[in-house]
Amino acid sequence: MVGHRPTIADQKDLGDTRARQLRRRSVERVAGQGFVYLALCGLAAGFLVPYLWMAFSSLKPQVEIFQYVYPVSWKTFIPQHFTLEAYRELFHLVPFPLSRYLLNSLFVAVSVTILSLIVNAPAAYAFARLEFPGRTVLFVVFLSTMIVPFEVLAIPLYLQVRSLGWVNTYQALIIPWVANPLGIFLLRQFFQDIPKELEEAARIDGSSYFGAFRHVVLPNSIPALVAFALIRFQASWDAFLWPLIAAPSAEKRVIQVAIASFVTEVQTRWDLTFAASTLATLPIVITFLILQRFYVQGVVMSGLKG
Amino acid sequence: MFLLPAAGGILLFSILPIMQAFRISFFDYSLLNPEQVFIGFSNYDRAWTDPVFRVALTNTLLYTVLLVTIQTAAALVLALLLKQQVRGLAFFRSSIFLPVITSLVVISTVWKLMFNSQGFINSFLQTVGLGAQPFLASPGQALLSLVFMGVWKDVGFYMLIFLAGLQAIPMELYESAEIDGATKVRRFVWITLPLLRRATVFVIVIGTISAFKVFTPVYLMTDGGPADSTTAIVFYIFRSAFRYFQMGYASAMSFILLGIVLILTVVQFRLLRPSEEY
Repeated sequence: MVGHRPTIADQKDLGDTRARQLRRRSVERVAGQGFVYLALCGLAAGFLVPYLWMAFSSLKPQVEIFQYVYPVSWKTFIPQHFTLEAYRELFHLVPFPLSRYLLNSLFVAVSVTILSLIVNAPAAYAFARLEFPGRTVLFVVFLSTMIVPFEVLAIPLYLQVRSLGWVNTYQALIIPWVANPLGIFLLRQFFQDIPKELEEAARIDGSSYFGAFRHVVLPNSIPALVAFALIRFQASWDAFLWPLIAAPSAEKRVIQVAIASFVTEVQTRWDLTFAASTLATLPIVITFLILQRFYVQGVVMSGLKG
Repeated sequence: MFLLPAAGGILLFSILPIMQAFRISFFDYSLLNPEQVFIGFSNYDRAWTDPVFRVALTNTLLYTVLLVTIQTAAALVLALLLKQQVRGLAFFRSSIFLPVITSLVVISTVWKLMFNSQGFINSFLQTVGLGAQPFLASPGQALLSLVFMGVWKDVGFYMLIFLAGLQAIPMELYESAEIDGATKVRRFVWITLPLLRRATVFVIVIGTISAFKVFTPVYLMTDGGPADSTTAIVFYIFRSAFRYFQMGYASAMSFILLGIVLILTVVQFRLLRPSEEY
């Protein structure tokens, strides 16, 4: 029997099959991609529509919101009679304009963020680097307080703040949220990864522990500090249950509680509700878009390590 | 001292209040009546016989089971979809992540209007020829509506966890499996799922704990109704404490909640602990 020698014709055949296979695969791939694309567009719409409806409706007179909601068309979104009336009204609310609540929120969130950094970063450094008796025990005690969810702590904390005479004050909104075990834990992990030699060099050059911390550790931890600051700022800006019980008075009201009181008190004014919601969301969304990198890092940091 | 402010804060606003509240949970303590009477375990007994507390417990469990199941599955599917390189990937990821960074108050507010009889969803349903639904106004649909909104808000966060998990899987595993002739489904079941175990544990545990503490949507969208069909535990604690001023009873329920959360956490970590290390 003569062995079959591959002929040119054979090779051509082979090439044809291969090409056909490849072609079919690429057709499949394009079809698959198209399907994935369609699914993704539908999904994105599902996530964006509430925002679009909120933002566009806030630029309409109240009647128009109801007039064009059904049937759904471009008129459901794009205002026919563009107006900033809702926003104007929000800034002339009695007893306080909405700006007051926004500023309350801003003040509280900025204070919590800055104080959190000042208080937790040194504590994290102490746990990461300093040797002192009871270090491990204290660290475990700190961490174990994280197990208690805030919702459990709400009543006890309220009674504590009340006994300090802090109800309806800024202190009540700020001070309890400064010390943060999760932050201490995350920053400690980060500080531990900084080469010890850097600090030792600084110490040999005659700087104190504090000097080494300030001039060596902190400058090398900017991404972690920014991520932590963002987490704290957002948590404070979004907090609702605590300000609702600790500072319900109009004077100290934060934006989240103010919006909630719209929902429960003046339900019928959809234009105002939408405009206030838009104003409360915009700063966060803009911050997110600018600092997306740190944000995602923060999520992964709190997610995978926490 | 580096530690003093942090230690002081945690002691004053975490440890002491918890101890104090534990004491109060054994007292008949109302903000209206400053006299505290020691009543032993009566507050705890009361919780077990209180029909509303039972309803709240059932509602919370139902909400948690539904939310975590749907959310985990949806997050995994989204992560698989968004793992691929498609044009505009950043846009899709950001859209899905947007609700994660929006405050729950705003989301509850907007979705309350979305679910309204004159809201967007009903208008959309009617436009495509489906009937209008009562959603939040019906005892049968209110809890489901809250679950839907809960998934919508948080799925982007859990998607990110799965994405991080997916990116950590070495490509070589898929390549060698493909050479061995494993189908796509088999590769998913035998490579992807087992290697995502850590991420899955995290998603389920964190999801369960946070679902169990649901408050804001209940407070803003349904006020526990209709007919207590959405009254969840934290909402009931809040109502007892700040509408009926029963601090002792509310404290006792807080500790029952703490106990449940702790048990859930331990059980889930046990159940989901990987049988083999990869």
